[in-house]
This record gives sequence, C-alpha cells and structure tokens, in this order.
Amino acid sequence: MADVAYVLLTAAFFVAVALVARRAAAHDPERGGGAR
Amino acid sequence: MTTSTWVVLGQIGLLLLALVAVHAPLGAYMARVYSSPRHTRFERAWYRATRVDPDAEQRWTTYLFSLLGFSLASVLFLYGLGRLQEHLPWNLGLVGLDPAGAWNTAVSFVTNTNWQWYSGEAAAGHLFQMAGLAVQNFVSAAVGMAVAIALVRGFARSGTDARIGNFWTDLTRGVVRILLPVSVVGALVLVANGVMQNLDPHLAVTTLEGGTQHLLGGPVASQEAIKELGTNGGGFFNANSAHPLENPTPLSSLVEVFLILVIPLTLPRTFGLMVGDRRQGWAIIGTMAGLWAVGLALVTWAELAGPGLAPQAAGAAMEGKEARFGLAASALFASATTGTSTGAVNAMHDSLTAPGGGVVLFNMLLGEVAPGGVGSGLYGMLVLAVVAVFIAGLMVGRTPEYLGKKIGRHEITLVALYVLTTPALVLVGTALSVVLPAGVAGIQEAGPHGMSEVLYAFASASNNNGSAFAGLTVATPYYNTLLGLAMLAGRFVPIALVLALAGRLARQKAVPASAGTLPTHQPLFVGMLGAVALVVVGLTFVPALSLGPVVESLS
Repeated sequence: MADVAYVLLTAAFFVAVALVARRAAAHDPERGGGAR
Repeated sequence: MTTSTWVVLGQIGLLLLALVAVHAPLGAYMARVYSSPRHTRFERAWYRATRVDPDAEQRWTTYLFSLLGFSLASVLFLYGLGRLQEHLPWNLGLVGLDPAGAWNTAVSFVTNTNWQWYSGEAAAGHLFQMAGLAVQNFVSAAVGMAVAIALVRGFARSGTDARIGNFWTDLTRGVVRILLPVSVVGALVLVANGVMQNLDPHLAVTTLEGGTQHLLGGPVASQEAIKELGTNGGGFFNANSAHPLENPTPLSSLVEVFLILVIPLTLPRTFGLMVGDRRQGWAIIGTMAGLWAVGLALVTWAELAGPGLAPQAAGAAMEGKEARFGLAASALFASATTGTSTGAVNAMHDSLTAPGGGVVLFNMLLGEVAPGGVGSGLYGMLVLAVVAVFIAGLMVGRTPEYLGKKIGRHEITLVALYVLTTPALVLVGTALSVVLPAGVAGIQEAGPHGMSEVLYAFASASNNNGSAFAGLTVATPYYNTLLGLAMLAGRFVPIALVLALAGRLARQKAVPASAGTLPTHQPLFVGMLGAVALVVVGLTFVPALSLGPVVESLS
C-alpha cells in the first residue's frame, strides 16, 4: 500500500510540474496565447 | 605566522594553482562539447538504440518534458532497486529499504541532493550502490549541466522559435564526454592515494588487541570521484569523506576538494565562450569566487579562534574534526561542500562552532550559487544576474537588459518565482517541523541548536546540497517524506522556471549595446551581483538564522 502511495506521489509531482509548464507556455502572449 | 596559518595558505595555494591550470582548457572543452554538431561513434549507436534524433532542436517545453520524464523514470527505477534489494545479487545480505526510506533515497540521488538518512555500509549492497546510486551520480549531474547550457543558449541565440538544444544529446554528452573521463582520472588518483577499490564483501581482520573486526570492501574510489565531481555528496560509508577508506590522507582530501570545485568554477568560462564574450564569464566567476572566499575565511577563522575553554586549550575547535586532516582542511572541505551543492563532509558539521556552522548554513541558503552545484550554480547565478540588471534598470529608469536581451515583465516574473521557491520550501518545512509532534520528536537538542539542526536539514534538502548537521533523527516516515518533497520541489520547480526563461530569451532578438546599457562585465556589476545575492538571502533568512546560530553564538 505504501509502495503505491509513493509511486503515485512521485508521478503526481512530475505530472503537476509538466501541466503547469504546458499551461504557462500556452498562455504566453508572445505565442498568441494569454488570458483575454 | 603560526603553523596552522601556513597550512591554510599552503593548501589554498595548491588548490588555486590546480584550478587555474585546468580552467581555460576545460572551459573551452566543455563549450566545444555542447556546441559541436558531431557525434561520436558510441553516441550515434546509443541514439539509434534509444531512438533519439540527436539533431532535433527542442522547444523549452519539450526539453522540460524530456527532463521530467527521464527523472520520473529514474526515481521509480531507484525506488524499485532499493525496495527489492534482498532479492537482487550483490546485496551483501542486506534487506530492502522501507518504503519511506527507499523513496527518500531515490528522490535524493535523482535530484543531485544525495541526502542520506541511512548508513551506506549498513543499508546499501554493491549492486544498489553501483547500478543505482552511482549511475544517478552521473546522470543527475549531467541534467544540471544540461539545464545551465540550455539557459546559456537562451542568452546566446537570437530570434529562434524558443529552441534551446536537445535534452538527450546534452545529457549523453555531459556524461560521456565530461563526467566519465574526468571521473576515471579522479578515481585513479584517489586509488593512488589509498582509497579502496574492489568488489569484496565484508572482510574479517584481527585488530591490534586481538579482537575481530569486519571491514566492508567495495568500489569506493570510483564512486568517490563522481560523488565529488558531480557535486553529489552521497558517501559509500556513513562517515562520508571523514572515513579513512573514502579519504585517507590530507592529499586525498585536497584532491576531493579540487573535484568538488572544478566544474562549478569552470562552467562560467564555458558560458563566456558560448555567449561570445569571455568577460561575462569572468564577472560570474568573480562573484562566485568572491562570495566563496569570504565564507571560507570566516569558517577558518571561526574554527581556529574557537570560543570556549577546550578549543582554546587545544589551539582550535577540534571536536568533530578528523585529526589526520586538521582544522584547515576541515574548514576548506566544509566551505567547498556547502558552497557547491555537494554535501560530502570530512568533518561533522554539527561540531562546528556556532559562527562556523552559521556560515556553512548561509552558504547553502545563498541558493548554492557560490560557486554552486554543477550546472545549478551557473543557472542560479545567471538568474541573480537578471535580478541585478533589473534593479539597476529601476534605478536609472531604463528597460533592463542582460547580454542584449530585454528583461520584461514575463522574464522577471519567472525569476521572482525562482528566487522565492527555495526559501518557501526551507521556511515552511522548518516551521512545520518545529511545531508538529512528528517533527519535534526528531530533534535531539533543545533550544537554538535544535532549531539550527532543523533549519539546516531543510536548507540542505531544498537547495539539493545533502550534507547533514547531524543531531536530527531523520530516519522516520515524517522526515523522509517531507524532506523528499522539499528535494523534488527544490530541484524541478526552479529547473522548469529556468527552462521557461531560456525559451523566452532564445525567442527574443538581441538588441545591440548602447551608451545607456549597463556593462555587466565590470567590477561594479560583480559588486552589485554579490550584493543582490546577500540581500536576497539576508531579507529572507535573517529571522530564522537569528533563532538558530545567532542566538547560540550570543548565549
């Protein structure tokens, strides 16, 4: 059970960083994104 | 002058000579490694086997996703290796690590922290050490260098589509062309100095008193070389570089300090060459070396002048120091290991005098930029350089620019988030641990020294240093998990921000310098950069430091 929890915790961290980065890139105004 | 003073000056002189001798050739070599369009035969075969197109330039997001995917796979692989140790060969009869301990260790080595809650000789077999920990010593260091080079490309390139290189190519070249060859030479030098290198299990020896002692053999020299060169720091033995089989002589200690400092102090030259202005590299190295030298002088003075009856009677604060190294070599090692993000120790930092302990703590709180870890030191200092030009721009009312790139709202937002990330992790982690019962339970000393122990642990983990103050019981699920999270966030959040900054800078068209451009290669800028580093740390950490080493010094 603890093994599953640590694997999920690790995966959640890396996925969260990747998602925030992708969102930030998509909202970059110089690339045509950004909140309007 | 006293003998101690001559020893201090002699070893620093030797170290400086060695560092100066390799500075220009190694800096130029690394610039060629990361700029050359050619691949070696081995590299081409490796890329074919891993289905990587080494010539495909990546945008910053793709570069980051490659880095994150590689690091996630590394953590999971190392976690599995630690948990399944008892079922694998070369385990020396050792059982698998518990879940929290295995996770902390996996995260620790993948983030280049190498924080060790365990004793190497009592928890890690030869396979885990070699196939797990030593491999990460190489690749985690190469990841740091890759990120630094990606940021340098961001400054050097102009008007591209945010493409900053290829992560897989940079990773491979860093390992194969830089870290491996230098490590082999370093390991041979250490073996010549008496560092152990074999694959033996425990060896029973008869002591002078007729008793029997079991000594663990192992591939120590090969691991020792990359442990220092990659600013990793995780020791084969629990006593780390204070152990006679890891670091037997004053000369081997000096060699290890050289290995710790050589890449962090040489990468600024690589930076200068890649941006086409070597003077920019000198400004960065001047700031790094200046801050580090001040710290070294303070630690050496604090330990030589050690307050208290016992240190005064002994002539220096020798508690916790190895007699075969003496105080000067211990102060030098402590400054090198905390000024970079190494974390190896040849003396127990918990036994440093209060001001000496405060300085090595401050070295880490600076954000590991003086001179910092391999790669992370350079990108950390370049981020501070952006802060410095921004502040200078505010003073004179001009749009700030650095190396021809304008520092606008988005750039400074990324930089501000970078600067805030690590302090937030250190302070929140420390605050939780001095309040929550699970955290308080690990603190062995009441009062300000206990506070220093906790602050040091979170400063070490969040800045990916890995050295331990000792005195704090961290082999618990609470500390293993919380410090593991601090290591993860302290490594990969700043990396994501740096790569985002690199992408933005690479997209910008460089503007030519004008009469109003702040020169960033002159002593004035070096002073500004050093001041920015000190002020940022001062404003952030003075309250916490006041509750720890400052109060202890005054009491």
